Amino acid sequence: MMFKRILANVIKDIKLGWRGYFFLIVVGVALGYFLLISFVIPDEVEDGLKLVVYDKAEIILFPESENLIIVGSREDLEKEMKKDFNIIGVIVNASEKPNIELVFQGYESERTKEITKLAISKLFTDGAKNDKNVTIETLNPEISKKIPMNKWFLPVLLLMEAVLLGVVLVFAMSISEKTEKTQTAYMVTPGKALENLLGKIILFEVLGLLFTYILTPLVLGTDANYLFLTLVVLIGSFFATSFALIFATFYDNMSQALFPMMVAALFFALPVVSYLFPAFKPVIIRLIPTYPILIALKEAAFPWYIGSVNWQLLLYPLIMGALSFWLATVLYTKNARRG
Amino acid sequence: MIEVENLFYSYTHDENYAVEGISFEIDEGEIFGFLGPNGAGKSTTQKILTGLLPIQKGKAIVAGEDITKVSGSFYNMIGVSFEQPNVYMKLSGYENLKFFASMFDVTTEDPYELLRLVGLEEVAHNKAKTYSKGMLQRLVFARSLINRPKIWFLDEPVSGLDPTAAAQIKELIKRKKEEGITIFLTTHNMHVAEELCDRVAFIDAGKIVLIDTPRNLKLRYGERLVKVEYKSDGKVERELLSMAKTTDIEKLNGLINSGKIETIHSMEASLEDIFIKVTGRGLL
Repeated sequence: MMFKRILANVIKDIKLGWRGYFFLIVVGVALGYFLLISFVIPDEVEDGLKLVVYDKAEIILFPESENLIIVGSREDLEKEMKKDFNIIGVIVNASEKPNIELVFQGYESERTKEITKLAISKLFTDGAKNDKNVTIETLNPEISKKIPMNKWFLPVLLLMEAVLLGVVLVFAMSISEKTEKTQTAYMVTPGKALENLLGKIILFEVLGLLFTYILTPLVLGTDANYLFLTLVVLIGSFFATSFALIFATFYDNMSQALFPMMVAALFFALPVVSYLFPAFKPVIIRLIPTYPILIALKEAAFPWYIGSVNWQLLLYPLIMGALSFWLATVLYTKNARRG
Repeated sequence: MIEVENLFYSYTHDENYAVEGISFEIDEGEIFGFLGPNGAGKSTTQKILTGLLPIQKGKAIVAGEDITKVSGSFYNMIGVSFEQPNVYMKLSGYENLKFFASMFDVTTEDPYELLRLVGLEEVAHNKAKTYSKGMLQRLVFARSLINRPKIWFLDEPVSGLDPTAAAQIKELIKRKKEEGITIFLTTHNMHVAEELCDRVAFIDAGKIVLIDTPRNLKLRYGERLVKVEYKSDGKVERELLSMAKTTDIEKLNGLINSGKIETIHSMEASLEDIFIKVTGRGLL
């Protein structure tokens, strides 16, 4: 009987999700992200120096390089800089000693400015000739393979949509049920809170997988570890939806819930900062269950880059998900009875 | 079928009781009306009896089950119709009934048949959000019958219905009583209570102030008066005659025999009159 009731709840929630355009939203967002990854975010961001030089003194012999443009006037230099926002201007003034003026776009970091100064100093001392004496060796050649920058964002998008999608939509769904007071009607049947909430969990698992299986093959083809990816999305979605179900019991309408919903989504998105800046991973961020989920998503998306997958990463979000689910069922029952 | 003994309930967990020491019994196949104004404790009592609120103090046995330990099987035996139209608005009437039917462990009614009984068969596949308030009320009412309950809890069953739909629902309630279903009817509508209930309880400020049959209450608290309108010397005269006074009875007989009477009405007290008399306040 329990299975029959769970199935009925799943069918009901899938119908409600379908009629609430949840599926359309997921497919649309997945395709939108694919377009964003393919056509907006570049594969690679130039992190080398690109210079445009106006040598008034005509005393420096610059090495030939695709990252170096020589111009004949300050106006031309400014024109080149306007064409490419990654370019830095260098003006060599005529005097006894070369007097260098560096022209920056304005948003360069101190680090970039210092590197530019060093590179220019090098040009004025011994040029690039010593480069011939430098060889580069790599201890871990696998690691040195670069993940294209646009694809690098895939685990973040999977976390935000496939996993955290449940946070926003489950709020909407739970509040709709509260407004309709259907929970009270449900409580006077033999149906259990657990069976009802499982319907929602499964709906958001399905939506999460739908998003994952649209976006990931489009971006990565067959390169991902799909078995591990499926498991990560299932556990991540289970945790996020269960947690959102707890929160949703405290609010009666969307306007009340909007702010806490956004705060919850932002809180769970905090590990993205550590993902983008791997050196920044304080304990507080590592304690957020979405942190291991994000790391596991990265491992699942780029198995060739990471080498092996760490199944233990999923244990913590799984335990937190189970605890959240249990608490959500207790609060659901209490809330529904209050009517 | 229902036994309630010294039941108390406080939402604030103090001496501010929503239900205070109420006791009553309901026999199998009886329609028991719980009559009182808003905030009197009717809904709280119904919530306790349906297991939605826990018992804080007292005892209640419903269909042989102590409701401090209700199980899933308890809900297979009861049906609850809420005053608020608490249905899934994005599902059709049929889908709503089908979903709730699948929650029960007993043989359930055919959703189409129930929709036909409440006059919703034409809109069975329309989403509930397109229904009028009365239609939603009928859908909730139909849903409460889906598991063929032995005990039926009805909260304001004809509220928001037009006279035709209300009559249809009242007929259905009477038919279910004939089938032996025990009905706990909560209302502040005295006409519904008078028409349907075998016995009524008046509840005010959490306490039951009276329990009896509507007829006994009228006899006990009403004055036996007859209002007559008759023609006398070409003019219409109106008079209230007491059936407790011999002179008035003789006068009434005389008027009947003379054939002058144009209208005649018995003036027994309504349940609302009795409620006001007993509690000093109205039902609304």
